[in-house]
Amino acid sequence: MASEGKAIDVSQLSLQQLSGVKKQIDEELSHLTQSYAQLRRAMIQFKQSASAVAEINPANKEKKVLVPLTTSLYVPGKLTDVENVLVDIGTGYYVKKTTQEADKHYKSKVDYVNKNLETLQQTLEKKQDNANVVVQIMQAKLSAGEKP
Amino acid sequence: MSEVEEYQQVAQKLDNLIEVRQKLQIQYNENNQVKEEFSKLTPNNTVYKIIGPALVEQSQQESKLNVDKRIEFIQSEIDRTENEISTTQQKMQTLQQTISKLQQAQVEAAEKAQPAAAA
Repeated sequence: MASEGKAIDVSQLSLQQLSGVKKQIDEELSHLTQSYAQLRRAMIQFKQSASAVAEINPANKEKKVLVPLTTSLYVPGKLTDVENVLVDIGTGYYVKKTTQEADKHYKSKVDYVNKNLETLQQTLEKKQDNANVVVQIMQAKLSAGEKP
Repeated sequence: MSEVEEYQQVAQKLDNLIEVRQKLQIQYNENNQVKEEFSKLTPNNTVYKIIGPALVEQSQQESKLNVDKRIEFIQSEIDRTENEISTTQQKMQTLQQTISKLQQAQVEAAEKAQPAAAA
């Protein structure tokens, strides 16, 4: 109900002030939408890493793989260690983890990002509501202004 | 109107400082996440650090100390930037006051000049 209190507040503003408010909300919205897309990308990457870890299992031991040296150069390799993987934990540090640990790590990352996505989604919806309210008031003021 | 130029310069400086502050916060968060990961290590978890194109093995102890030191450094940088931001904001405020006073003086001068011009 906080947005309702705010709505009463905005209805006192002049058209010019309202368009300023609208502009500010729009900027916040686009920033939040960008963050949302970034978080989505991060989550997809963590999920991909988790499913890659799932492929490192004893059933695939000694199987042939193609190892990317660059994005366009691959060399043949053989999967020898199916127990351990190296996980990037940030700021240039990598940690050797068992596949179970790595799986847990990526799943907790996915959960963490998911939670953030949910709160961000809620914030986005609230902002969108605010924007709609401002537009409505602006339209009301405009049509009221047209009449004598 | 050198005050206006100064004001613009200070505003630009504030923008830059805020950007620096945000970048520091990102680094701070990332380092804290690494610290948290380190706290969950078992002796079996070998730690590597990427140096150029190569992964180099590191001792857990050393890595932990390194990250702690980095967090400390970033925190002090954050504090320093915060201080600079608040002094810059104060400077902006005083400049704003000076400018609005000057503008008022200009308006008054123009009003005074008006009847003289009409006469």
